[in-house]
Amino acid sequence: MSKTKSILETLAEAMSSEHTSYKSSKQYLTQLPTKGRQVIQGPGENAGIIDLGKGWALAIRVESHNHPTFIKPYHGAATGVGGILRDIFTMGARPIGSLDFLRFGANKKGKELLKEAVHGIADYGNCIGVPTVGGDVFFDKTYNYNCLVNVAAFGIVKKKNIILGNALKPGSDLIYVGARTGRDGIGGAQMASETLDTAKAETVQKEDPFLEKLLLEACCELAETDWIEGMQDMGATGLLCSTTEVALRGRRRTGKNLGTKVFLNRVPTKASHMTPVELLLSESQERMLIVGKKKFRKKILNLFKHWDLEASVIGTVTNDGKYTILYDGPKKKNIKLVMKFNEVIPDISEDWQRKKWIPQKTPHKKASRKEVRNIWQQYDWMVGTRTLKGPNKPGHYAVLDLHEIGKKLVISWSSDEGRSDRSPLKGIQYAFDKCLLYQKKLKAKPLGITNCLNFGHPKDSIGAFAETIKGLRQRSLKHKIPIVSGNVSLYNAHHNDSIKPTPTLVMVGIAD
Amino acid sequence: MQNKKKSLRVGVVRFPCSNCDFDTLRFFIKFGHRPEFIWHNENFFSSYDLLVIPGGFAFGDRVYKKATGKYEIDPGVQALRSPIMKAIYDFAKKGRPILGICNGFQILVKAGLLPGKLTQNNSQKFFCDFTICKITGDSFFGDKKMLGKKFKVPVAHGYGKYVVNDKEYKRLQKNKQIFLEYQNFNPNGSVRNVAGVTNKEKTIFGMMPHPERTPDGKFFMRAIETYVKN
Repeated sequence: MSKTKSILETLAEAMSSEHTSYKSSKQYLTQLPTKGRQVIQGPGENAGIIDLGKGWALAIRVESHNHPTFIKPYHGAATGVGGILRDIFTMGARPIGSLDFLRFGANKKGKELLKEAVHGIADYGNCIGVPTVGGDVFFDKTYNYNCLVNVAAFGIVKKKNIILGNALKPGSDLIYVGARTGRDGIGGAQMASETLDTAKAETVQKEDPFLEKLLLEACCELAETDWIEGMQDMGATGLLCSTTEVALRGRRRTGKNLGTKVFLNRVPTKASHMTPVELLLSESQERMLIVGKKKFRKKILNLFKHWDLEASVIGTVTNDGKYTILYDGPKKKNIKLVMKFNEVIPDISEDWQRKKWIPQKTPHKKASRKEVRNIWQQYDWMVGTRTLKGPNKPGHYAVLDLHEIGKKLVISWSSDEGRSDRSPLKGIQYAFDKCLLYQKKLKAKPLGITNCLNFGHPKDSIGAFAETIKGLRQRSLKHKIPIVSGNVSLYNAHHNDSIKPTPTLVMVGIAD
Repeated sequence: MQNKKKSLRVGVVRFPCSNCDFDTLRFFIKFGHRPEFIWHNENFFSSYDLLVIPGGFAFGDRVYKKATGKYEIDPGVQALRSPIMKAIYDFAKKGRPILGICNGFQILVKAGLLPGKLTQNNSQKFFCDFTICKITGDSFFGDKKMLGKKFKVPVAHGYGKYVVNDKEYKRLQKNKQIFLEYQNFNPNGSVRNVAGVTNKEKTIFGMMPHPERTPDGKFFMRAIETYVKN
């Protein structure tokens, strides 16, 4: 009994981390305008989705992978790319471009980390065949002990093929596909929610771009069928988060009393003697959870087999409204644990006192043209043959060919260029105005925004965060451009030193 | 205009982790041809006019050492185990035309269908940008109109340094097998700026630059069309 109790406690604790629960930030995030006629899917799914017209849609999202990159720059940055690309193709969309925003220390270590991180991004992105079409690089003392790596990705999908991360009917299969589960990355979500002083190298995941490419192709093929109800990638808090999330979204969408039952002994593993908790919390990369219609089970498994992917049915969707885990290994004592969703995922919020941000006033230096060229030349920025304006020409924007609809996708991005340090409100507004300026210059119609908000410890940075949200809200309302997805990264701090507020914005629009 | 031409049946060989597969397909569709994918574990294909092995990272390029999790990068080598290789050898033996682009070039070299070796760039980094390439030797698909001309063709590779010894280089030169050379700037350290070579019989062409990405694609396509027609 005490054993099962401790499992539940551990799981609830993992789901309570800032990274998974957004407990400190959600009260602010809900203030952002997220609706619009063109918005098919706003925040709350793996990526935001915008209607492009002519039956096509665009999936967009930004993700940060700051802490892992500081600890293991190559692997941290590479898995960051992997994670965001999965967010895109989980929706059934084929990724057509990415951007990366890099912020590193003003010291020698900063340069070394940057070199490794770029190498990681290049190796991963190039292999998968998604072009890196832009980004920017800044150096600042504020990032000496906490670098930032934010990756944005864009994917296109036929509207009728959009897949959401939900279960819809009791009896459907939960299918696990992709890499086997190991001990890598256990505690990753917690790591992202603590300062770097306590983080460990073991919590950084390893990457395999080849597997990701197979998953991408298989999932894009699956999106063309009507065999599945939903798809969810296994990111932070891996299997636990994905199996609970598909049920919770399904409950909200259908109003049915859905639950999930997961047979942990059916999860393919690469390490031996993994405990149920390890299986549930592992953040091994390149894994997906498919909610498959039962009658198409064979077809789904065959499709994965075609792509040399290992897939197995590990559970089922139930109508008991519970989250049940079972473990009946041959030697282990059987475990059956029935939990309520609100026990596993407590609805929590954390209030921090909103202190006024104290400016650090350190120089925020843009990388030189030469340094920047040395970076983008390591990325395949042309694969896909859509890149009409890539990183080879100056300007914080990219233009991609959308031959499917005979139009151009205009992506513009901006950071605050250090302005948020003096005034978080003005910083984000500057970033917004710059994004909009490029859209206007190119005669594009702006459709939506995705952002990544990198802040320090909430105890001194939540005030700046609130200001940033306020500024973004004002601009978004004024220009009627909704925020369709995003990412918040708090706890970017070393000892008592938080990084400067560092928001990055990405705006997308359509031009003829 | 395009209707007058005989459209070509092109087989685009797709390995797991080929990533210029769709680009190559679209390149041929754009010029009114009929390309189709051939999956790597098929071992039969019908009468294609041309076989193309597109760019990418067949099988991810990483060759894992068993159980240790450590790996070496060796582009192309794992493709040799695919069943399709038998069919590719047969196609080559019959003297039918094959074009290998980037990773396709690496695979053809590893398969022994093209001379030389491709190793890591001198910079030890992936490199992607436009390069200027000059058509030399017996030209691209024997197209005399292209000979001596320069084209702006993108490269994107980490292992594109072409290596042969002096003796072999001279033989290739004598046989006019080097059909493409980098001009002004050598992106990878290739011996004497070699960017593309053909076999002795001039039926198999391998090149690191990407003709499907260049704005000058029509010249490359015209050469292929003329070759197949004759």
